[in-house]
Amino acid sequence: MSFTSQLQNELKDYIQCEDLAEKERIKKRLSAELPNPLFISNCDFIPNEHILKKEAWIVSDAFEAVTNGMFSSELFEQLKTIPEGSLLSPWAVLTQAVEAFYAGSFQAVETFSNSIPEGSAPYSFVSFFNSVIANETLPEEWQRLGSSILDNKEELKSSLEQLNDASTAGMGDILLETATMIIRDISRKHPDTAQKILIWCFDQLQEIDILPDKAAHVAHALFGEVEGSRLTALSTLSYDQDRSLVYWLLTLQAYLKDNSTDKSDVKAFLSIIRDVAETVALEFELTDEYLSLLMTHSISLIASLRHLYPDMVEAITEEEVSKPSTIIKILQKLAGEKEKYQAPSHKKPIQQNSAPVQFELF
Amino acid sequence: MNTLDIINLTINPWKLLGISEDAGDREIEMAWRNLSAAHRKNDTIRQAYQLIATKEDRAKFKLLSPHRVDDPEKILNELPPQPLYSGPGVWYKSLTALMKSK
Repeated sequence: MSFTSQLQNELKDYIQCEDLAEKERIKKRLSAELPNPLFISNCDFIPNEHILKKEAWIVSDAFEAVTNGMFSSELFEQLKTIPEGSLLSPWAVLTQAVEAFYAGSFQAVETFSNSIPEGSAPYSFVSFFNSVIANETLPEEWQRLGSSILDNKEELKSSLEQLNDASTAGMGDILLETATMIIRDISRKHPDTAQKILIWCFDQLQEIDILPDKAAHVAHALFGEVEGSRLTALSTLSYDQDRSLVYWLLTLQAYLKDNSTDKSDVKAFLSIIRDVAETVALEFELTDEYLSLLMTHSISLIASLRHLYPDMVEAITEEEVSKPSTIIKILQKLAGEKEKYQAPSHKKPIQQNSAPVQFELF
Repeated sequence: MNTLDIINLTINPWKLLGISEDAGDREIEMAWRNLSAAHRKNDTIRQAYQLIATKEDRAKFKLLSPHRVDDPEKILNELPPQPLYSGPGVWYKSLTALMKSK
């Protein structure tokens, strides 16, 4: 007897069985063997008004819609009507996991896939989802599915190779142009990856001694004033702490122009500024020109803080701020006392005795 | 934690503590306590907690993110998988093939 006939017979037994314990045993077997919900939808011997067939239609329609990008909230509501004890319940949960997968909500995929009853046929997909979420190589049995439903990122791979080539050849302009194109393409869907690419470009430019000012303009154009300044400040933090300090001040100033500021964010900015100022004071020979630049930005920053969060600057007098020689201390004082716990040791060496920052941008 | 220490870290403290990025102080502390009890003297767990213990810590960590990568290939590998719509057929066929092989 073929697998299809055998399964059909078991379905008939399941529908006709009146002994609850036996019915449950048949359901368990069927649940492990049912290869898709369409199998029930296509069984002519099950009347259209039978609950099992209605549920099979709901699940197969929803699964088809999900895998074609046509899923609607209406279908989702219908899926939720399928009770936990139904033979179709594992398929209903799988459909929700697949929907979350296409929506990119991997936490929801994990939650749904963990709810698929063990022993049911859809439970097999748990290993597929686990590998996808962990970004691991798919097990052999899922390679075909993976190659059909996962983008192999060939286009991005090729663009990143171009970036690498431009960097190796020391062609800063081409590096930035290529990065701009890639970032524009992916920043909406993958803002984090776009930022990583920008930071990597900054690193390459700094490695080949190209000042990051041009990259800073690109960062502003791509990510806006606050994020552009922040990414520049972050990118220069390992190479040019003095330059980075100025960018952190500019970023906070830009952030404070926003109407919806948060005090915790402001404190976090000030904590970073304090740490960087401390390093700059220790590691660099600070010129009067640089200190004056810091003072100019600090006066403007403190004025904004006095307006928005007066309690944060009440200990700072106008007289203190007007002296370039005390400006580093003021920047440290703004953030308040440091936490008491011991920080782990540095992994990346800080550049020693760097030349003072150049000012063409400021 | 000091800024220059944070930028050299590549850990995801939320993932390490097994919590969502929306978790508040209490939930973070509970996750840290539970994990600390299970894995005594685990420095990475302590570090993850210190990075995001307070709202200000979390804001600082986010301002110092994303962490830098030294190779564009790694950027590609860190990119989340991109699903493509293919219809239900390949899902059903893959499962049937797996069931047959078993």
